[in-house]
Amino acid sequence: MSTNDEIVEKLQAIISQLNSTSNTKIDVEKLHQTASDLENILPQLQFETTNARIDGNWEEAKKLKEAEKECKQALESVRATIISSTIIGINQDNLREMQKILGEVDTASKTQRRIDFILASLRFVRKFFA
Amino acid sequence: MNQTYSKKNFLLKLCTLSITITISLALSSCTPQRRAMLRLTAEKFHEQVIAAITSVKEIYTLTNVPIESSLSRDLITRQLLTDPSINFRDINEVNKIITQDDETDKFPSDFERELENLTAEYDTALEIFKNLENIDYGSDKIVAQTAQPARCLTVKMLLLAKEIQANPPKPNNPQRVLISLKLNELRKQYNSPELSARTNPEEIKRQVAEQIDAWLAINAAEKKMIEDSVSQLLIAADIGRRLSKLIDDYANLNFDVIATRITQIMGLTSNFTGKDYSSTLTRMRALETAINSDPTLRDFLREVSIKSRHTPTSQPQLCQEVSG
Repeated sequence: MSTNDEIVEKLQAIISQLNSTSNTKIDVEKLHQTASDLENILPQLQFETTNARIDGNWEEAKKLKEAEKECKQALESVRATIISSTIIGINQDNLREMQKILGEVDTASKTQRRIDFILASLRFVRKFFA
Repeated sequence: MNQTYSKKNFLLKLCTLSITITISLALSSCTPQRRAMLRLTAEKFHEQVIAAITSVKEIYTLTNVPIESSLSRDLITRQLLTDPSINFRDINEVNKIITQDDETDKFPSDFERELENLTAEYDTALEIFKNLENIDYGSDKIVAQTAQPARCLTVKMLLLAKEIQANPPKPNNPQRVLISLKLNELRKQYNSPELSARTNPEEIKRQVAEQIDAWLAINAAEKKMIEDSVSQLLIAADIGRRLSKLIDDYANLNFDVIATRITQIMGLTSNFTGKDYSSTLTRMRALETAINSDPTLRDFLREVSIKSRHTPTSQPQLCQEVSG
């Protein structure tokens, strides 16, 4: 469970980072940081997924597998943005969604909610860079 | 005396003229061969770029945790028997559980698409050189026009190599996850009195040592994959640099010089794929210096680097803009 907390914290940091540059542009250095954070989150999710399967916790395994997939796609999108070397602007819709996700992190106290938060954050990151 | 001199002078002039005509005829008759040589170089460049991009794709592929087939089968069996959420009427869902295949509906990722776009730029450049071979009139002018895309593509290869070198991906992380899971299991065994009574603690330590060795082997293999990919990109950048130099000098060089240079380019791969990474890095610096000393290439390098910081998304890609 502590690992899930760690993932939640890292994702919160990613979203805050994107949020902190809301009125300007995100540059390549920040994209590298986001890619590196997602690259660290991915093996943790893979560990949790496989562990949940070994423990026979199928429902959690299914959710975590979904998070793993989202994390892969988010990472692929950030990497694509890096090599196409473009700079992403933040639009108002993205900004609103970011604020919502950041607000939700405090209420994500139960395990199930934590995975939901992980999923929502990863989906947002993917959508942001797609 | 004066008459003899002017006769000599006339003969000398005639001789010079005939030599000039012979050289011009020889040169113009060589033009199709010269263009063929250029196409060969472009093909070599293209071939190397494809090899480099393939290696880049490999190191950036995000794979699943490679669970051993016996454990995987055991987990599938247990899930089919104990997961109440499985709806056996939904055969797609059952198929996904049995095959553990979550790739069925997978389409190319954003990153793969980006690499495909890059490959397409090189395909276009090669196409130009291939078509060039069939054009007799004005081919020199077209050759000169190809210099720009060739330079741009060269710089892109170098920048990609630098990107990987500065921020290397971790393609072997899924294997590390597998080892971590095993280590986690071994620690449980070691610390649980019930479980360690069944397994000798020394045996557990031996198994941990085995996992440490496996981890180190994975690190070494990953390092090699990254270094190979960087080397492939640098070879491509180097061939591109030589190709663009060849294009620059094309109108002023004779067939022999072009042929010699191309022979050198063809032999590049063999003496460049070094196993020693420090020499690869030295090579990267040397290549960067060479590119920086070429005024046009330097401008491209600067333009592409600046673009990565300031250009908005809507602006077309540099190479697409140039070749399009």
